[in-house]
Amino acid sequence: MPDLDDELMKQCQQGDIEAFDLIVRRNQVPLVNFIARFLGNPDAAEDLAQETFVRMFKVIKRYKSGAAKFSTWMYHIASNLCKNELRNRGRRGRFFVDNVITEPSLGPESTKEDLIATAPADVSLQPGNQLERKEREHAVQSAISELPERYRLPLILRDLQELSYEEISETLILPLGTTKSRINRARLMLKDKLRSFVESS
Amino acid sequence: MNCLKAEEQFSAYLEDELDYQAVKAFEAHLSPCESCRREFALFRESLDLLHQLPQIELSTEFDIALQVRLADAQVEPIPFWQRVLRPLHGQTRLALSGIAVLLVMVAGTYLYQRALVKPKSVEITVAPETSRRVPFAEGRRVQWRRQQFPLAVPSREPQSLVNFPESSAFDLQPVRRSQQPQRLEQNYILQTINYTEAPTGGGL
Ligand SMILES: [Zn+2]
Repeated sequence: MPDLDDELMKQCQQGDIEAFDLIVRRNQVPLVNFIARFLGNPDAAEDLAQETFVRMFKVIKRYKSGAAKFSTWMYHIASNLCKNELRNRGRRGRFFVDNVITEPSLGPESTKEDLIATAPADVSLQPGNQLERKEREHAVQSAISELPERYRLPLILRDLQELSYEEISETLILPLGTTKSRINRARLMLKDKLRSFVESS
Repeated sequence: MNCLKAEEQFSAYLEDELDYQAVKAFEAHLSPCESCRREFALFRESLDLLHQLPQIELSTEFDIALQVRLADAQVEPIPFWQRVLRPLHGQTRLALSGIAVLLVMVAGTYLYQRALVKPKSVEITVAPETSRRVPFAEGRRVQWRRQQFPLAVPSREPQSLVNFPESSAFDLQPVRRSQQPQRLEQNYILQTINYTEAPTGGGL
């Protein structure tokens, strides 16, 4: 199956700037999600996703096309930016996992009445479910954020970005076997961290 | 198969990456092992939770902010002085350029003279007139030599030397390397070796 992003990159290299715009639109949401889940912070995620696109644009001539090259290239650049960000943040202090919870319409002071008043007709978005959903997301994001970087990164690439093991091993420059065992290890760690949440719900 | 080995194959079993023999062995361990069955169930549940994480939507500013940054990346960075001068026109620009040139010359002169007055870290031997005639040098050469010099020396400005042709600057050589560890800024100075009167192999 030909990779559309890879085709678009070839067009960019031939001077078609608009092809890059299409690449951005196809990849911006996954990229921001990847960075936000990895850092546990959606505000820094947008900034770093933009930085990733700018870096890609600047070194577009160095891109070597090939099967599934684009996603590995993009996540490789983004991963390095994230690692730098975490290193810098380590010097500044810790961050809060609570920031990442997706709650666009309601502030932290929302009462149950507010939730009912703004509840859409969709059953899955009604207040009880919404609070539950928020709690669940918080538990999972906390568990992810507690994983060491070397386990967190491949886990997110596999289970949230849905990359193949081959793509992940290329992105992280790890042998395939190491990649597989590290992802299994990461999932086992996640299971242990979510134990109390799963057993209480 | 023990529990530890079974645990190592949780992902491979779930993702159908085991061969027939391995599947048989895995299942043969799990069916009597209550602990592994429980852990495997929890493993699947936590993976489901992970896969159910909601997608984070982009803020409305994302697109425009990215366009600005990409546009910046496309434009070659303009030097500071061009950015300042660009909006100005005709005589104003000319006048400002004149003032700038003057300022540079004045500053250069000042720094140069200051360097002559107090050369702090340089050990200078004033060469006697005779020693300037190097008997066995092969000809006139100009060499770039790495030397220790105070920061104030206008190192790469031969023009400022030209302004003072009568100065003693040309007599300040050879310059010997200071014996202290080279901690100060390294600069390049133009060192002129005078040509000799000794016969050469037709090099001149
Ligand atoms: Zn067992």
